[in-house]
Amino acid sequence: MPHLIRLLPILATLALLWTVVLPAGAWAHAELVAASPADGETVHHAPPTLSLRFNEAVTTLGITLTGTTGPVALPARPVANGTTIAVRLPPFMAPGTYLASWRVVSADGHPVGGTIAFGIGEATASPAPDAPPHLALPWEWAVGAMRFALYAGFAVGAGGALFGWLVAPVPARLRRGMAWAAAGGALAALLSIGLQGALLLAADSPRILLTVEPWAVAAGTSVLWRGAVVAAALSVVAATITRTRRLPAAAAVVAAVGLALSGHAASGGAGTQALLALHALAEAFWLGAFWPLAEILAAEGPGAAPIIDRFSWLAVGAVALLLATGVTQAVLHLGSWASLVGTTHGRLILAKLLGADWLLTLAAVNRLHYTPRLRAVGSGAAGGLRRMIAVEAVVAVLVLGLTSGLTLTAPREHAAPQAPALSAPTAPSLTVTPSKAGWNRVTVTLETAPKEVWVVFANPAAHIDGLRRQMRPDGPGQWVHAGPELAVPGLWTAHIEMLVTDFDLVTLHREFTIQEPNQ
Amino acid sequence: MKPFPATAAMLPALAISALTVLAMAPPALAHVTLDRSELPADSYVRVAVRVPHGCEGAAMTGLRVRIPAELRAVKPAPKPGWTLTTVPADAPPSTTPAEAHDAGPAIKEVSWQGGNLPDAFYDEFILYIRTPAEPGPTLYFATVQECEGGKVTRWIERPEAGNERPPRPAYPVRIVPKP
Repeated sequence: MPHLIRLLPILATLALLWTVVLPAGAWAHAELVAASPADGETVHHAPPTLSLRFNEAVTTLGITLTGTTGPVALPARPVANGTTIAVRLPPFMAPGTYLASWRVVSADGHPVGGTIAFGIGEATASPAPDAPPHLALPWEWAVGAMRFALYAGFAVGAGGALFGWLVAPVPARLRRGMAWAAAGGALAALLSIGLQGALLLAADSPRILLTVEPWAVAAGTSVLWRGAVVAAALSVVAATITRTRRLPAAAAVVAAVGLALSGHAASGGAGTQALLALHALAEAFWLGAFWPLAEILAAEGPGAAPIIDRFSWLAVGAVALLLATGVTQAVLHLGSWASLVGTTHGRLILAKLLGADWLLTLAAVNRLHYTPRLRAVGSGAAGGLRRMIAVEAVVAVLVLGLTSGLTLTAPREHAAPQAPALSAPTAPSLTVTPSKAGWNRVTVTLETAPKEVWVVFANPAAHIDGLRRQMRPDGPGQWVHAGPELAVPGLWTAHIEMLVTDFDLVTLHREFTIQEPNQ
Repeated sequence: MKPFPATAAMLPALAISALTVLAMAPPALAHVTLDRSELPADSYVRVAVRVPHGCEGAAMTGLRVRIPAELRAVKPAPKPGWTLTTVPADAPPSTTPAEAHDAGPAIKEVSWQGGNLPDAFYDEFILYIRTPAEPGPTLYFATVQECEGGKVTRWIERPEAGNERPPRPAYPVRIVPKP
């Protein structure tokens, strides 16, 4: 009892602090009062700093700057000085439109965020088509090459593990090779994180990988999760494949799930991610079987027939799954026949389809011609099968290369259909013309006649939120805003605020896609 | 000796809580709110509209408050330096004084104009209201601040599915049973 009494003052303090802390923080909001460069302003030269002034003292949670060619890395952290936040801008900023997204929290309140748009030079309409590329180094190639290494290591290592569990035990010599492949894939997954960060930073020198910056930048994206999960799973494969069969196969499945954790699939939701994981699993099983099959055929010749049969039976299922998930993903990402031939992503998918078709043909020949002859001693079918598998392996490498290229190009989601304004009777509609990064005209058609209409743009993937503009009336029921703010391609949302009376606000939400400028 | 350690422990605890209270005080509220979030039903109550800020740093020159239709009567208090006007409600004409007494507020909007409240200062605008007869409803006091430079800040948003805490809410007041 005496000990409890000693506790009482502490409990009383905690209770008092609780009552003080709990309600006070609930209603505070900082507001942006002024910015330099101002929202909507065009300056002739890149200013040395961006400063934001609020109506209260605030602490910065983060400031991100996005230009027409992608995110722009800021050389230093923002500095808070009472009610003003200032951040140094990079020394060279190409002419064009920039979006600065800020997030702050006032002394004891909610975080608040917003975005301002400003232009440098006279090119605020749209970036010059032959503007110097922002990237000093071809980081995209490095990312693509590392991704290819990852896919190859995944196919040989994880695929081999799947073969070892599902089809037949793999010869020991091969298992060591598969362990090395899986280890290499794990390393590639880890290095991809840093390379992705360097790509985002548009770094000038490969030495940046030795600093913490690109890793920290990439750590803020989903690339971190994919890299970490895949690396961990492939390491487990490498460590266990020479010893056992079930554990590396389970780790292979985890690695396939990890591959689906970032990129375009991630933005599509859990369903798209499941498609990608299944696709990766089926691909690993099929491609990862080439090496052990060739080896088993060399070692046992006609004696390999039961193994080949078992593999063929499983491979039919794997190929069906591969095709189904691949076609579904292509349909989801491309959205239209025009995109298939008209965009880089679409053409790569076509090429990959051709390669897959070629592989299927070879596999069909294997199954229909060579495999039945395998049991006949002296038919030479084993040798023929091995040669076919070698050819298939080469084609598979090409297809993997195409897949690496696919992941680097953005899928073209189809532009929102241009609803004809007059014949859209009931639903308020939003149209964006020309729906390409740069100068856009946003039109909202309403049935009601509000006093004012404001639109707030956001692009969650680019961390842009709270970009607020007032729309002007442009004919009966039509409200228009034209400007360069939609400078970043991707999926945007528009919150349309309609002031019906001075005291009544109705909000609508619409989504639309902005495509890249020169396609 | 037992009471002594307890008291000794109390002192720093009290000091910490006092400092915390002081630190938490002024910049906490940026919204236009009322001084009460719950009102008793069937009562005459004095409420204060609390204005801690102008519009994005500009001084406030006018405040308009929409009177919720559920209130049965309202009388605004004049304020020195401000011109008080009311906008009558479009209510159907009532025949008897008793009906008129229960017909609802004859005013739908109250407006204080012409003053100057700098952003750094705080002020309250008083309303004397008669609450609805039955507890239960939530009333939303929508306000509009008009400021120097033509700036306007509206506190008129209602919570909706998917946006339970809008950034510029109309202040909600619950009607609770009369004590």
